[in-house]
Amino acid sequence: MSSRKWPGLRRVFRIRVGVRGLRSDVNDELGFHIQGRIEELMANGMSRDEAEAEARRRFGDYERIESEVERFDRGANRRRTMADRIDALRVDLRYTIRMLLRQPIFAIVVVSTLTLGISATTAIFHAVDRVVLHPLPYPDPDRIVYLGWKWAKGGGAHSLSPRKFVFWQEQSRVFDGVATSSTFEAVVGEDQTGSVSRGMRITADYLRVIGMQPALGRAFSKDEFTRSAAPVAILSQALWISQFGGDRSAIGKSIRLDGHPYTIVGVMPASFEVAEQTEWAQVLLPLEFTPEQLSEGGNNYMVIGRLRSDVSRAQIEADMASVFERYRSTFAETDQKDDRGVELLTYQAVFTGGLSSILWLMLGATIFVLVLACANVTNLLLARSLSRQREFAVRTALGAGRGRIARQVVLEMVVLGVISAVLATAASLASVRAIVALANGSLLRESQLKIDPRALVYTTLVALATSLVVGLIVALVATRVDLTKSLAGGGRSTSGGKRQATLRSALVSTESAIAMLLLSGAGLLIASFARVSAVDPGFRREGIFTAVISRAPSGYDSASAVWQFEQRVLDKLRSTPGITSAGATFTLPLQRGWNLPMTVEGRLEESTGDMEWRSMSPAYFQTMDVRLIAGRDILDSDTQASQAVALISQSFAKRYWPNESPIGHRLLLGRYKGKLIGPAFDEPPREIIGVVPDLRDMSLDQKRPRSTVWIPQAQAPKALTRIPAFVVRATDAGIAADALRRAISAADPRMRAPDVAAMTDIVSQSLAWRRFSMVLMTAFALIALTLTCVGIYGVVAYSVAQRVHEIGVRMALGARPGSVVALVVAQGVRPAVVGLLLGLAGALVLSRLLATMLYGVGPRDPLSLGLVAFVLASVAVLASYLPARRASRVDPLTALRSD
Amino acid sequence: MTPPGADDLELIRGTLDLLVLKTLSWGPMHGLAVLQWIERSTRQRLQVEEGALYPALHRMEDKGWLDAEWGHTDVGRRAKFYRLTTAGRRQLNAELSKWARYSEAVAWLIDAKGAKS
Repeated sequence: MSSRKWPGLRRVFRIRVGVRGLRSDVNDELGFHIQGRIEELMANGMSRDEAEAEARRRFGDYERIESEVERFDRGANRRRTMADRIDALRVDLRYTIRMLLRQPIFAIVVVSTLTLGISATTAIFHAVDRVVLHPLPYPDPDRIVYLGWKWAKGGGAHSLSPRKFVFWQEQSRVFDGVATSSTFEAVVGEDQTGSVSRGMRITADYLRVIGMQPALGRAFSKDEFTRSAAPVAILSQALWISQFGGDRSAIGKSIRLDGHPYTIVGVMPASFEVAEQTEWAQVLLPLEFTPEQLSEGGNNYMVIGRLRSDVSRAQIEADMASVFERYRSTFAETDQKDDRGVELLTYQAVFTGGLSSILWLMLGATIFVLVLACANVTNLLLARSLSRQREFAVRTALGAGRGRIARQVVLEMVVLGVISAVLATAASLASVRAIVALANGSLLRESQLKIDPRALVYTTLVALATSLVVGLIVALVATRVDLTKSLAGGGRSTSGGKRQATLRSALVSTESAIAMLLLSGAGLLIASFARVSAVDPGFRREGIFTAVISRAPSGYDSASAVWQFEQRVLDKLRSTPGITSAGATFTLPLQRGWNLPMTVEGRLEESTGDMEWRSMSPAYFQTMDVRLIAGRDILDSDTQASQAVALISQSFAKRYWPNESPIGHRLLLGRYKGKLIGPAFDEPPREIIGVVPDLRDMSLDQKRPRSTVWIPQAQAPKALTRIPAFVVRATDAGIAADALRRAISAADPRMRAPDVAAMTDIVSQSLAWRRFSMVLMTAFALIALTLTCVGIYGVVAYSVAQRVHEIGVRMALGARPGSVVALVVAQGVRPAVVGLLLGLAGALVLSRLLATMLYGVGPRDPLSLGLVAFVLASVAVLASYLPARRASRVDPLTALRSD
Repeated sequence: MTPPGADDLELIRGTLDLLVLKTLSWGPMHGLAVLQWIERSTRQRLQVEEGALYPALHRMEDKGWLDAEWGHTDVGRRAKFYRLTTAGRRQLNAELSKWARYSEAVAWLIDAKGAKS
């Protein structure tokens, strides 16, 4: 019988052709042939024996032929079964789609629930993939490390001073190369009005370390890294194209940067800009440190190294330790005893340390949301499968096996899952945009968040896994059809049995537990955010506006030139109506100041390297609304010519002068145990003239205020002098911005327009990552809460529908509506409370993960946890009450008659 | 029918399909009948190893050229009958034209005069 002739017939009757069947078929056929021959031969006059021998001879090797025929048939049979299966699948698929189209609401609810779950997790997976899992875009990224500086008391810098860099570069034996870079801005082209390009100065091994070479021309030669060498530059692909139209003859030509000519020796490949992921890669110049830079103590250069491929971890550690020993003995006089030497860091540790833990946490949260979505869908499918019991029963009676019906259920789920995956991909594109917007560009860049094939694979796998899991659970439970009961049940649908009721309660508990877990996380993050936002930074942020000038034109090489410019701007500002007061500083609040050692005069042994240096103009504190605790503020009369002075922070004062006034004591800036760290810091002792309250000017959530020394800008050493940032107190943002721009342009028309920002925005921006994690976690928690609410409602409403008859009986027997409500509500609330308690326990265990992201609340903050538990419980009650109220309105007569 | 004489011809490889398809083009037959038809219509000149017929039949059934069905012979014996399908008919035409071109080519070669000069 052929599948072609009667397609599906074998399937309909579920006839299996086994190997045994095949063999006897073949035997029969061959036997018939031989038998026929024998009879024919005997008819021609042979004896039986002769005829048999002749027939067998003519037939040939029976065994061989039989096995050959069987081999054909087995293969054919296999192919036929496959074709049957595909056929069956097509029929099932058509049936499924017809069923779904008949119940579009059901399909829409399932698809939107799944889409929600899948797109959330896809979007976050994406961020994790790009930010956390993605390696550096250089060749052999595993061998690239960042050299940081470790301190004994914990913590450290992710960068080194030029002196340390050079020392390790020369002494360490475990690297193929060690390099560092700095950035600069320069006007490109003949005239000063040309476009500004951002470039990097790189040390000799930089390109070797990142594993890239110019696509055109050559890298810098060794002697080009000396100050006296003729100036040379390497262009990026983009600059080469914009300036020279991509002409290869650009090599050897000259390009002007800030008016100075540089000979072009090379052009980097386009992949370089992509790899560096920065706008600071347009042009490269050689970096050579000056003697002053080499004597300075600040860890301000990010240093990267490429480890040799043949060194072990132990060798690396031994090398770092021995180089550090040599460094200590070489620079014994300025070295600080609390150093621990160079520490090798990964890219992730340097750049995405904080962010990656947030993202992992969020990925965890989205997976919980997905599980929740699955629970809801499972519930929905279960309920529906119960109402389909009769359909299943009929099909079973007609011969469909349990497996067949199970396959139908799973298939239905897979169809829904695939639709959801497609929608989720589109939705996650949109949510990736939202995430970038939320991160405000400070945490993630959009370039890091494009939908790529890996995310699509992730979406697909997640969608298939969820569909299969949900489908199988439902299939296992729903296909236990009791034929006689279902068919005999007449029009009334079956109650589904204890087993399914238990499963539904378990789903509600799971949902509540997950919702509780996410709500706790969100609650703690919201509480932390509220506390951080309410922190008093020590200055009044409202009404303050700042102006930052990103780049000064030429002519500001001396401290006095900067100071005169600042004076002109401040004078102009102070005479502008609407500006209450104005000041300037080298480092705005929430930016880093300098970290330099100092010695208190007469107390050599107590020197510290852990001291924050900030600078200000007269009236700066007044503008920031900071009231001095003791002494006086600086005045216009504190100049280069007068006695050098400083103000100190309260914690500094307490540390050195717990029982007396610090005023009148003297500080030695830039000296460690009295020894000068570099000629740039040589200056007379500074007299302390006042005490300033501790400001939270590193970040609002800094653990303890840093000991800070404030010095007048007029007296700042050259090494610390730069174009200042201006702050004004004004009644109106527009007035402030206008006044700042006019004043700066009036003081020097060549100055570029400043970036003006409100201090409230700067403070808010400093909380970006907190807001990011809070908003995301809250969003996930709310989704979880909504899904749980829908889930509980669904389960209770379904059970009410199932028990209309029973409720009718109860009411007919005199049950009051109140007791019916209580009965039904309890049914939804009981598993929800179980889940809530489980979730609470989970939250107490998992809150450790959140600990580093919290501020001002413990990870087990009873208020936050209690509050979210209350919210969840209320939602559970509400979700159960609505169907319960309907149950209490059941008319006993109707209910009983419907039987 | 009986004597396999010395001048019996070995079947040329690949022609069995053609013989079977052509035979079945006259109507459904079981394997033995196919063989007997071949013997009769070739005047017993072609020597077919009888057993070899069956792998060929099953192979062609698998390819969809033949349909097979268990039925009963005139005398009421159970036998497997093969029938040409549409695809089989198409295949037969292809085989026929291939054979015609082949024998024509062989004939050309045989008739060709020896190469001169």
